[in-house]
Amino acid sequence: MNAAVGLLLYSLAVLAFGPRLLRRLTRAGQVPRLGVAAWLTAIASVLVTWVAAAVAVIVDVAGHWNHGHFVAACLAKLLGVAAGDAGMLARLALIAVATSAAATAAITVVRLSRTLIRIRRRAHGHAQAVRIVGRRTTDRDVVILEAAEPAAYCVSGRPPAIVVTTAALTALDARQLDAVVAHERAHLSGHHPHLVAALRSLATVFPRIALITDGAEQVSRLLEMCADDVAACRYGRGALLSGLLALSGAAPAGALGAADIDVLARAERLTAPNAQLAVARSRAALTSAVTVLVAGPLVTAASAASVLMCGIP
Amino acid sequence: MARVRGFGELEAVIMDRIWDREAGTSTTVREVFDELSAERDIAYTTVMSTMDNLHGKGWLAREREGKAYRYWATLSREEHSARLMREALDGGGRSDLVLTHFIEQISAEESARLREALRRFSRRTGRR
Repeated sequence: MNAAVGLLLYSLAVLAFGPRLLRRLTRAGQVPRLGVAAWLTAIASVLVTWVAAAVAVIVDVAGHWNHGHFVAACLAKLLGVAAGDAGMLARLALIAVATSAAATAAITVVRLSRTLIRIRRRAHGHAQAVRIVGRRTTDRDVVILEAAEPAAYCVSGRPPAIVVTTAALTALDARQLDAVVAHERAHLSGHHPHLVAALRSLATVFPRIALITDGAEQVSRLLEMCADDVAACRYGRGALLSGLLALSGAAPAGALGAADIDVLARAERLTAPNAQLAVARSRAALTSAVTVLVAGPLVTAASAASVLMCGIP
Repeated sequence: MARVRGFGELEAVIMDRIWDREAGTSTTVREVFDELSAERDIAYTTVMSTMDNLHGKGWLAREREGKAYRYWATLSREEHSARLMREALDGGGRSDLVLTHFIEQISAEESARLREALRRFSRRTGRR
């Protein structure tokens, strides 16, 4: 029981302080891959903590359960409560907590997998349709779509597709196009769409948990920077930057989302000289954050268990 | 044209053929098969099942005529393009469709700041 309480306290701390801290550490995107790892570790550590706490409660209840028939035992306990047995009341409360923890976990798993399947089906359907409608190119993964809107994106599927519209083709020169396609290809080879889909499913199931909703948003942003780095490495920052500009200038400023500021962050990053010290500092901060997030639940559970074993209250 | 790999690509090839016809006309599996078999090694039943799939997925409509079906496209290629673009550009990161756009739409002001960033960049690299 101590372990469960300890783990829950730990997860509350991560939920309370994690989003702001990680946002600060990953804002500039100096080491985007490590930034992604930090967000994912934070989210995973909270989820693992919840599961571990639920399991601890259930095991605790099951361990104390009297042998014999379930219903009979329940009735006996109810009678005990009716007779004014306060200890029995506490046990029943614990059983209720364990049951609802198990039920919540089951419902969450079902909702999560349903959302994932729906998102996956949408993406695969889109990729397939794009392949039928669009013009194929000599690059097997690139499809040209006839459209007045300049756009370039990738979508997972079997096979996945990189879509470039005819308007985008007109706006880009050969080198810029290479950089844009390399950027999208980096997303696909890094399995970024799967990661984004998984995080978005989590955000759909837990819409009020800032760590997860912020995480989904920030990880998408950092993944753009990861893909930028791959493309800039091959075709130069200039090609990538002017590609961004070429595709942004032609776009109508319609519905604006939160992602818009990120374009500027990406551009700043590409223009800023590589400050070795800042990169090293950012790397050190993120590495320690990841270490704390991994060690946190282990230490919490271990100390709670040792308290239990040594018999110290 | 490249070799056909898998049903997905055959679906695309068949839709190409059907969209290449005049709008408002219909066709049969036999006609499509005759055209395709002139260029590649393909079985009649493969064309038939692929067109049946396309009908099942809503790409083709059909009407029985004697022993065979006559098929036509439910939407033109342009209509599909427009639909896919709407799907891709809508949602703004909140929809069920997960796409990683190279760049989201940005405002004029942001575009100006982006241009400024590019100018700084070219000035710096120019100086080297």
